[in-house]
This record gives sequence, C-alpha cells and structure tokens, in this order.
Amino acid sequence: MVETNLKSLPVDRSEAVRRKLIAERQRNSVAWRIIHMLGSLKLALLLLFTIALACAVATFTESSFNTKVAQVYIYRNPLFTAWLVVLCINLLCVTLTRIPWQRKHVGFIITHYGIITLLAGAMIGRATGYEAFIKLQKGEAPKNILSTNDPILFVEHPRTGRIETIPFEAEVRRPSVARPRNYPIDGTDLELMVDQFSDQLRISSDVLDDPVLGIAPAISLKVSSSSLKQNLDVPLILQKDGAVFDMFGLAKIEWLDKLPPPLPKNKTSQKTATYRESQMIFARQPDIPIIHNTNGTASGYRFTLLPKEDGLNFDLEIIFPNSKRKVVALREAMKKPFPGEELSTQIMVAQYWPDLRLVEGKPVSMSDQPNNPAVLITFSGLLEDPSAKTPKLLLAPLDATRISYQLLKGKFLQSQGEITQGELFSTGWNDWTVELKKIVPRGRLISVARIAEEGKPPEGDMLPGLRFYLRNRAGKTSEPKWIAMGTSDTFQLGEDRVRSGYGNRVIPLPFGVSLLNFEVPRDEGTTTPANFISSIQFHPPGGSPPVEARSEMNFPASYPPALWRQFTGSTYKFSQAGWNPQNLNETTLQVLHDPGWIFKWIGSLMICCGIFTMFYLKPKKTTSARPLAGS
Amino acid sequence: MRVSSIAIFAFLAFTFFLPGPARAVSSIDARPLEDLPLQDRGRKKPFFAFATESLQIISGKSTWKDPVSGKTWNAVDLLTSIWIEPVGWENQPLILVDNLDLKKSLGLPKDEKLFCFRELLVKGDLRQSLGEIQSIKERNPRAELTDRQKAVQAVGARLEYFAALINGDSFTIVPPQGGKVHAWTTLPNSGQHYTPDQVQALAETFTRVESSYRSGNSAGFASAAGELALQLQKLSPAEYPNLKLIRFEHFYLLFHPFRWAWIFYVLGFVTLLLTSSWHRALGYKIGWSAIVLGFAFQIFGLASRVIIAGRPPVTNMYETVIWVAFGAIALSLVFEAIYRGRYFLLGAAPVAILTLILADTQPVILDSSINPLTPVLRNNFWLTIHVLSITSSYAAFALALGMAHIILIKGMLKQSVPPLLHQYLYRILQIGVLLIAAGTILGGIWANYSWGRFWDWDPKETWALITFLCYLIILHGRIAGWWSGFGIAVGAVLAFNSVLMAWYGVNFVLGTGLHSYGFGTGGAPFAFAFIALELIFLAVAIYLYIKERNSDHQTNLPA
Repeated sequence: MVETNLKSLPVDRSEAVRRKLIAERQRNSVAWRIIHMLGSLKLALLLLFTIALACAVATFTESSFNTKVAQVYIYRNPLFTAWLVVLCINLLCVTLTRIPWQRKHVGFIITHYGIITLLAGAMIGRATGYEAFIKLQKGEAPKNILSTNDPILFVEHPRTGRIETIPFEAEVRRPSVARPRNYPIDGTDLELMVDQFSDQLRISSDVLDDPVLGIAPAISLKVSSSSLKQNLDVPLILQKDGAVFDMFGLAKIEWLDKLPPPLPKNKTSQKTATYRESQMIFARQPDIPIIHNTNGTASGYRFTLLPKEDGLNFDLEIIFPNSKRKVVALREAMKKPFPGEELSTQIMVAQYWPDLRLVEGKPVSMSDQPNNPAVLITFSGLLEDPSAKTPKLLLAPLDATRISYQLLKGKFLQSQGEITQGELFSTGWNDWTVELKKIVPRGRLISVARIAEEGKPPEGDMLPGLRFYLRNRAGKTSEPKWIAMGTSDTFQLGEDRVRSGYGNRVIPLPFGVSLLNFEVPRDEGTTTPANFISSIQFHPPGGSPPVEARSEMNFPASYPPALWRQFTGSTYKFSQAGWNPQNLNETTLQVLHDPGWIFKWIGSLMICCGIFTMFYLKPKKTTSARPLAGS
Repeated sequence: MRVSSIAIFAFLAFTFFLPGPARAVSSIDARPLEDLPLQDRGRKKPFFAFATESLQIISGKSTWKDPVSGKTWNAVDLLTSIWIEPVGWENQPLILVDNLDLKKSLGLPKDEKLFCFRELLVKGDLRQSLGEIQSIKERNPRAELTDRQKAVQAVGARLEYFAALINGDSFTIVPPQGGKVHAWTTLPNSGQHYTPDQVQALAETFTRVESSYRSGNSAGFASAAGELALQLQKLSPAEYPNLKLIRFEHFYLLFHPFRWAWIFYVLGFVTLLLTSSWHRALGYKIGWSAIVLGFAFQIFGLASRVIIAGRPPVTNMYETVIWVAFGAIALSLVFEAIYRGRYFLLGAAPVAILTLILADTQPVILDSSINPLTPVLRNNFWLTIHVLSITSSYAAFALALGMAHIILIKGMLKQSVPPLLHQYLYRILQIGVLLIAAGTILGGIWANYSWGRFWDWDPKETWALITFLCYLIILHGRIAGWWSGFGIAVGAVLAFNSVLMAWYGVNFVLGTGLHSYGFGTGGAPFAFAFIALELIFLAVAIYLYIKERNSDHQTNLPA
C-alpha cells in the first residue's frame, strides 16, 4: 500500500518563500516561538480530545446522577472554563502563525475566529445574563421578581445592615462537620459557619414567651390524628377578633378572650333529608357503573368488582367519597347491609348475577359461571345540611396554666371542658386529638426548623436546609440552628446579631408582568396539549400603558420589543416553560436575558461559512501537487 | 348522563345477550372495514392503521396466533372481532409482558410473552404497583421511575389500551358536528351530537354489520360496512376527513415501500459485488438501476409520510433511521454521478440495508406509527433545517463508515486500494463535518429563538458536539501528518461510535435530557454487539496492516 505523506510533497516557489519567513521568525523571536507553541496542532488535538472526553464523562454523570451534579462538577467548573480559554488561545495563535495571510486562509480564519466569537458570546452571556422563571396567575397584580434555581446564602451585616449574597450549591458540594464552610464578616471578628446539609428539615411554628416583644396570651397546640398519620402545630395568639385556625376547611379552631355561654346540646331527633341510590356494577366494565339516585347528585360512592385469584369469587371494593377504600368479600357483603362513611349510610348488595344477560328486558343470570358478573348495590344515606357541617373548637384562657374549651357542631354543643398544659383531649372529629403544649401570657410567633425525626411519620413537607452558627476569632461559637430553604434566622454571639438565610436567588425585573389568559388547545379527541399560549401584559415603570404580548411554543414574547434591543441582547425573552394541569389559570414562563446573544449568532454564522469556504471555496492552485489537500 | 347510561347498558346487554361460545370465531374477512376513518390518539386515520397500531401497542406484533386453534389473525380481523364480539377476548393471550424481572415477580412463565387481560388484572401486585406509580406521578410528574416501575407502567398502559378496546371506547368512528368540539365519539355515544333519528339509523346499519359478521355473510358485511361509512360521512361532511387521504394512508401501509427499498438495495449490492471483475459494465448498470429503484421506493415512502403527517419525516427514532438510509444512498448517488466510481454505492448499500431491515423488523423499539408531535416540535421550518441537517450528517458519516469498510477490507484481502478511494472518503467526511456543525448550531439557534438558552449542555447537544470534535480530530490529525489513508479509514469507523451514541445512546441508554421525545428502551444488545464486532474488525485490520508494513520494511520496498 503506497501512502502519501503530506510533508514530503513538492510545493511551489511563493509558498516556499513564505515557509522560510515563518521558520525564520520562529527561530529568532521568543514571542513567535511561544505563539507557535500555543497555536500548535498537537495542542489543538490534545484540546479536542480532552474536551470531547470531559463532555462524554459529563453526560454519563448527568445520566447517573442528575443535571445539577454534571453542571456543577464539570460544565460550570472553573477548570473547564479555563480549558475553553486555552482553546480560544490556541485558535487565536494558530491564525497568527499563518501571518502573512493569503487568500487560501480565508475559510480557516473565519472558522477559527468564529469559534472564538461564539465562546466569547457564551462567556458574556454567563457573566451578565441569566435564565430565570416567573410563575403567573391569571388576574394577579403585575410581578417583577423572577425566581431561579440557583441557591444562595445571604448574610446581613450586624452593624451596617448590608446584605451580602453568596452562591452556594449545598446539594452538590455538601458541607460537613469535618469540612465546614466559613464566611468571614468583615469589620468584625466573626465568621458565619455552615457545617451540615439536610433535605429532611421540618418547620414547626411555636409561641415564645417574650415579655418584651410578646403581645397577648398565646397557646401552642398539637393537633394529631393517628389514623391519618398527621401532626399539626397550631400556635395561636390572642387578637381583638379572636385568632382562628382553619383545618383544611373541615373544622375551625378559635382562640378567644373568653368562651361564649354554652349552647344547647345536640338533639337526636332531627329532620334531615335522606336519599337513595342504586348502582349497577359490571366486572367487565369497571369504569361504567350505572347509577340512579333520588336527589339528582351522585353520592360520591364508587364500587368495583374485583375477581379473586380463583376467578370464581369476587371482592367488592368500596371507594368512599373521602377517597378511602375498603375491600370486602362479595359473599360477606351480600349477607346484610353494612355502614358507609357515616353510620347513617347503609350499603346493601341487593343482587348478584354471575352471568348477566337481558332476557325480555329483564336482567337474568344465564349460568353460574362468572362470564359476565354484575351486582346491584343500593344504599341510602342522610343528606347533610352543609351549613351545619363545619365543627368548631373554641378555646379561652382560664389561668396561667389552664384553658377551657367548647366543641360545637353547627348550632349545637358537643362537649366542653378544661385542660392543663401538657394534657390532651379528643375532639370527636374522627380520631383527632388536641394537646395543649404551651400557654404563655405574652407570646410571639416563631418558626423553628429541625430535622424530621427518624421513624416518626412525616409531618408536612420536608425541606432542604443548612446548619449555621457564628464563630469568633477566640473560637467561641453561637448556638447552631438549622435554616430551611426559603427562610432566615438570627444568630447572636456577644453583642452582634447576624441575620442569615438560605434560598434561591431572585432577580428583579425592570418592569412588571401579568397574565391575562392562558390556553392549552389539545390534539383532536385527546387531552394531550397541542400548544401552550399565554397572553401577557408588560407593565413598564413610570406608569406608561401596559403592552400586550403573546408567548406560545416556538414563539416567545420579547420585551422591550425594539429590534435593536434584540440585536444587542438587552431584551428579555419570555417563553413557555411549564404549566399546572390542575390549574389552567397558572403558567410558568422562562425569562432569558442574554447580552452575549449577538456574538453567539455571529460566531455560529462564521463557523458554518468558514467550514464551507475551507472545504469548497479554496482557490484552485494550478501548480499544486497535493490532490489530498481538499483544494 | 341518564341517556348515555341507558345507551351503554343497552349496548353492553346487547353484546352480552347474544348467545355465543366463550371465544370469538369469525370466518369473515374484515377488509371492507379497512378504509373506515376513525379518530385515534390525536389524528384521523383509516381503520387499517388503527388496527395495526392497536395490535402493535398491546402485543408488539403485527399478527396474532391463536394458541389453541393455530389460526393466525391479521390486525384488522382481530380488531373487528374485538369490536363486534368482545366477549372472550379478555381470556386470549394478547398483552405483551417482556420484562423478565417483572414476569418473575408476578409469577408469570418467563418463556411466554403474551398474557391474557384477565390473568394480568387479577394480579394484586401489579394493581398495587400501578396505583403507586400513579400517586408518584400525581405528586411529581417528572419523577424518575425505577426499571421495574417503568416496566409496570408499560404493562399498565397496554392493559388500559386493551380495556378501552374491549369496552368499545376506542372505536371513535362518529364525527362531531363541528364548531368547538372536535372529539369523535363511539356509536353508542353518538346521541351527544345527533338526533335520535340519526342515532337510530346508525344503530340499524351497525346492527346489519354485526349480524352479517356473525352469520358469516361476507356480501352483507361489505355492503353494510360501506353504508355505515357513507352515513357517517353525511352526518358531518365538514369534520369528516378527505377519504382520498385515508385511502392513501391505507395504501401506504399495505405497500411497505421501505421493505421494497431494502430488497432492491440488496439486489443492487449483490450485483455490484459479484460483477467487480466479471461483466463489470453490465453489472454496474444493473446494480445502479436496482439501487435507484430502491431509492425511488424510499422517496415514495418518505413523501407518503410527509403527506399523511403534514410535517417533515424526522420526528422519532424510526423516522431518523429511515432518513439515514435515505441520506446515505442519496449522497452516494450524488457522488457516483460526480466521480463515476462504484465504491460509493458499495459503501452506502450495506448501511442502508442494515438500517432499513432494523426499521422493518423492530417495531417495539422503532415505532413506525404516525402520531402528532409534542408542542415544542411543531415548527416545520426549524424542524426541517435542524433535524434534517443532523440526520443527514449521520447519513454522511454512515456512508463514510461504509467506504471505510471497503478500504479496510481491501487492505485485509491484500488488494491494492486506489488512492481515489481515500479521496472519496475524505470528501464524505467533509460533508458530514459541515452538516453536523451546521445542524448542531441550528439546534442552538432554534432553542435560542424559540425559548431562550442557546446551549445548555443537554446530552443530545453535547454528544453532537463530541461527534463533531471526534471527526475534527480525524481531519486535524491528517493535516498534522499523523495519519492518512488507512488511518482515516480506521478513524471513520471508530468515530462512528460517537454518532451511535449521539443518535441512539442518548435516547436509549442515557435516557435523560430535553430530547425526551425519542426516549425508548430496547435494542441495547444489538448496539453493543454491533460496536463489539466493529472493534474486532478494526483490531484485525490494524494487526494485518502493521504486519504488512513491517514486512514491507523488511524487504525494503518503498513505503
């Protein structure tokens, strides 16, 4: 096999002269030698190879962990950026080594400078631009704050009150007790230490007895249900109109100055309306029961016939209006009526046909084989008077350690009594109990973040957060406290109080945005979204009239809309980023601000034109003896 | 609610009332129904397409063999039977469960792939897992699922689809009146849009369809089916699709243009190979004609997809695979016209044959059904220029792969490699590099224009960049004098792995990132086998080359 070696081919005269010039200056000048070294093909190949490798590793990292890890450790790593800078230097120097430039170098120069331009645009964009989000609700007042996914710490200076923000990727680079992070507070001998991260923090509200800042008698209750595995902390501070706590709209707890005179007790003979409903359930068609009822609205009960493993017997699954489920064997259910959600509702399996057929308009079972199993279920219940529905718990202080209470349902008193601090009583609402944790004469509200205890049921949402404490040069430390994401707290060491917090960076917009309408057209005959269209308004500062715009998939809205702003990247681009399928009055837009935009486009254009030129527009050299050089 | 529940009850009772054996058997050929339009999963299609896709979705196959009688059902006959006589189908093994771990944990035999709806529904574990997955998704729609959960989810989707078939909800053949509502309904629910008289007329015609079906009356069936179609069209001519388009889609599906394409490519390839030294000129003419004919079939297939779907034919893995075959052959024909050497076709044909056979035989991995696009892709301009550039670059690199194989095989067989061959390879690599640079950049520009960020290191973007860099390494190394000819051929084969990663690996192996519309599973063993074979091939080629070089030096032949 005969191969051609590029370097050994003959070249024409002018080329030889040029080569000699280049070789000479390389010999004579240190600067040129450095330039040739920095612009060498060997370095270029090394760069190409290592960047490709780093990117490949990063994609696998992203797949194994998540995007944030890959971003923090590789793509946004300063070393990676530095390496890209070396690439730019290499690209620049290699063009310098070809000076004096000739016509054949045009494509080469355009391509390599195009890459530099593109990377420069990227750096500018990263330094001065951002990508943020804004969640808008229809009809809300204009918003001008954008949220991001970049977590930061903020520290308020104890003396000047100035707030400093520090980027902090706690999830990816976790601090630990062995390797805490420290942030000195200048002008003092203090530093803020962060030594732990947890994603299982729980915020509980409490009342603190504070003779100075406390306002009024306050209690802290713990309201729990063991069957639902819920624990609620309810702090209540006495106010002029009473303090009210709404329990999911199902009940109310009120903290009053004093209790009203007790109302009459619940009478048993009440006239309330009843209803009857019958449902025909088919095993084959579990989603199509046939329901008839007397009062026009569905009871909310659903039933499903489930075949047992043997295929011959069935279970009846009851889904209550409150979404609880219960499964009984059909055989058992057929024996007698059983209660529904409340004692007043009675459910009966009136009839069961293993092999349902319609004969002369009447349902009949053709055989004993469960070929088409169906049941007729009838039940009756009481129609609740909605106005009497919400139960209330009224509380009032008796003395320093005791409170008295009344439990009401509608207009009737269910029970009353007194409890002491530390005791609990049952409310009669399913299995909810109320414990009086604390009663203080002058209380104020505080929030405390703690790690959720192991083994105990989760109490509400768990949040990520960091543990902070203050330390001074002498080594003395303040009490460490957990700060959950989105909150802040104050630390005291000696005379200095430092407020510190942890949350996602927010970015102010120079104008406001509001949502007029949000539409999600669907593909024909399905619920799959076909497009997302947000009709929004931009509210410029200074009271000028708002500007309307539309943002939909592939057609974002830009504001300010002037063309020159688009070119210089000084505009803000609002594109459709997310939606809430349960709430079509809400939309999430992504906001992009990228001053480096124009460089990226110009750089991209240069790269493509340059490559094309290099490959296909090289001037034909008649004396060239290099058929492989792509001339 | 009351009206439709009576209708449902009537329909159910009607279908269950008629005496019949527990298993449905019909001797009717359901072909008259094939052109009946219905609206399914976001677009209007012929019953033939709906039937084929439905069987594909639930069983992963295009036909079904009854394990008891041995009869092979085609999709249309099967779906017609499910429609008209649903009783008993829930006891037939039609639902695909192919995940071994899942089968083991559910106690299903691991050698079987198809299971009955009934027997799967009875599995409490499965129902419980499905319930868990649903609550996970409700809390966080973007939650990551374990492999087992993904398998359960896939089975759950098939069960749900089957349930909709059995209870008749999928057979949405009745167009709406128009105006705001565009959802089609089933016959029992047609009362929503039409007068009782109209509903009655439809029900009567359908009764005739059913009774002729059951009694085996082919002529009656055909005429009733035709009448049903006419009646439906008259109900709402504005909403009814253009029947020519429906029939065209039916024809396209029957015709299998991509199958004919690879058959002719095989013919052409074999001819060219066999006639390199024997009847060379004639063989070239025949081979070239065969390949051009196959190419014509391929163009027809692509054009058909564009006509049916209304968008460029590169929106899922299946379509990119078809396009790469198209691009490779197209490029090779262009080069063949310029340079007049048979090597281009010899290089392109195996690539095209391999990819088209894959597309033809792996419907579970490469889904050929035409579906509406996710909203972000609904921009034909960008879709065309970005995706076509990238996939065309894959095609160019695939052609380069083919050419490189020719060079390396010739070397291994100790045949002399004409220097022009090296030049051809280089030219093809240039095109690939230009296209992938343009395509990657266009992706960034589309993203920047349409929603903001230009480049986000999304895995697909990153791998396109890596591919670009790998081929740049080949080109720059050549300029540096590190390799040429043989080295470039080796490089073209090695670097194709980055194309595979960018094209297939990101969607099927990594499974993360924004390019989620191509996600799938399966095929990884094929891919790994292919890569392993290529690496072995390269190792042998390099070994033989080095051996030859050393022996050349030893006998002092000019290098």
